[in-house]
Amino acid sequence: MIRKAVLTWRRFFLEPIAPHSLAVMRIALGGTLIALWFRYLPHVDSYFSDRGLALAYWEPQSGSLSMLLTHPPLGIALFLYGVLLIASIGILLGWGLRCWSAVAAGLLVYFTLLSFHNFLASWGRLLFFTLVILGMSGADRTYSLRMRSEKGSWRAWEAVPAWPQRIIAIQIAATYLGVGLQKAYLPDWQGGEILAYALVNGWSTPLAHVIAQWNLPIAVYDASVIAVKILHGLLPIMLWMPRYQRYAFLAGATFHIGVTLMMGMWWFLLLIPLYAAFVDPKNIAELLKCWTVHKRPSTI
Amino acid sequence: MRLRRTLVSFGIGLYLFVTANALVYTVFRKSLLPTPVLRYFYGMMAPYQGYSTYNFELVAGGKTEEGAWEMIDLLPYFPGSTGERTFREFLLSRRAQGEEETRKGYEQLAGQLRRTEAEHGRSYTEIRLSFDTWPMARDGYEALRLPAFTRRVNPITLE
Repeated sequence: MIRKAVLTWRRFFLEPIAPHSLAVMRIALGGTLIALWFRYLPHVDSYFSDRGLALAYWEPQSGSLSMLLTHPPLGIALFLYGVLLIASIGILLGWGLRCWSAVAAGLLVYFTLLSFHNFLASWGRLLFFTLVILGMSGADRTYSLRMRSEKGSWRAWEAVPAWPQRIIAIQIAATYLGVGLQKAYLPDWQGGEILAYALVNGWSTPLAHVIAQWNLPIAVYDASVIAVKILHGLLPIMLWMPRYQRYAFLAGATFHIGVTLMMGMWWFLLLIPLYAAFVDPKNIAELLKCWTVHKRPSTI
Repeated sequence: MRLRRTLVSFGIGLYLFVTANALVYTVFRKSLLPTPVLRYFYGMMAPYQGYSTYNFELVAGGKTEEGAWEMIDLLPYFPGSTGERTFREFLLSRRAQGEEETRKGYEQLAGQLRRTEAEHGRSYTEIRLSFDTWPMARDGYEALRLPAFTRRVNPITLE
């Protein structure tokens, strides 16, 4: 029994696997970091330099390292912000992944302690977690500049340990499960009002306001909240089952696209490509191979 | 190689324990972990816990040397979408540390605001921060931000 458990553990977490799922996640993460970078670029002065209104997480104490966490002059803030872009491009292209992930993680911690702590929502934690795990994963062992320069092909690949892919999958499942459990019992999630008000609060998009003006009966909102709870309950199971995965991906993607369209929280879209963590890397390789073959113009 | 596998297995086991603990916390509000670790991992599985039927926005008044009060435009200081702006204005990380830390946070903001405004040629002898709150409306975010519906509340207690 114990021997079987040990073997299962080894097979699931420690055996080498193809890196294609991790590479897809790496490219999505790099793209998200770059999008985030452009999103905050116009506000570097406000959030990260001494020109804005921003509270450092720790009160700076004279003579201690916490002085490093006071807001720097704009020039230094811009320089560090520029390094974050280079790191994000490195991650996207798969060049020096370990180094650039460490740099990006360090800078994200730094910027968070300066200002993002006032906006540290679940997505920010997930982003950072994904960055750290992918940084250690060898996700640059295919579809990367590294493979292009070392092996002469973007599609060349080397096996990587399975645990980073498994941990990201477990975290996504745990996130949906934890969110679902809380929505099941939190008092404000027992009716559709929370959704109705979500359409008219500070996060709401113009589309959400239009939908609010349709005067839909509360029963519609009640039903939508129940549907969301069922979705959160099913996703942690269905995402693992190859037979139902495509439905889980579709339902999860629809949910996150809906949140983006109604509440503008586009950052959760990163979870959609992270579903690759649940897919056998060989299937991803086959899928992308078919896609590139179909995209290539015929020479006949 | 064997040592490496053992270390990796230990790390995975630790991660699984922390995540399971965070999952248990979502339902039972009990944890075996120190608060900062729990907060991080629980934070990755926390939806927004409730809703308000009112909008909130931080507003600042500055007292001029002549003794008159005038409103200060905070928009340049809190850029981004309305939701994100409000999220930041609440100083949630300070609020989690209690009333005293929240008060200090707003005092620091007021001090920074006074200094920054002075650099732009607007000197104030006093800065007062508060929140405007008004009912949400389907016709738009600011639709009911009218004198009859808007209250000005203390930024610390929000009352």
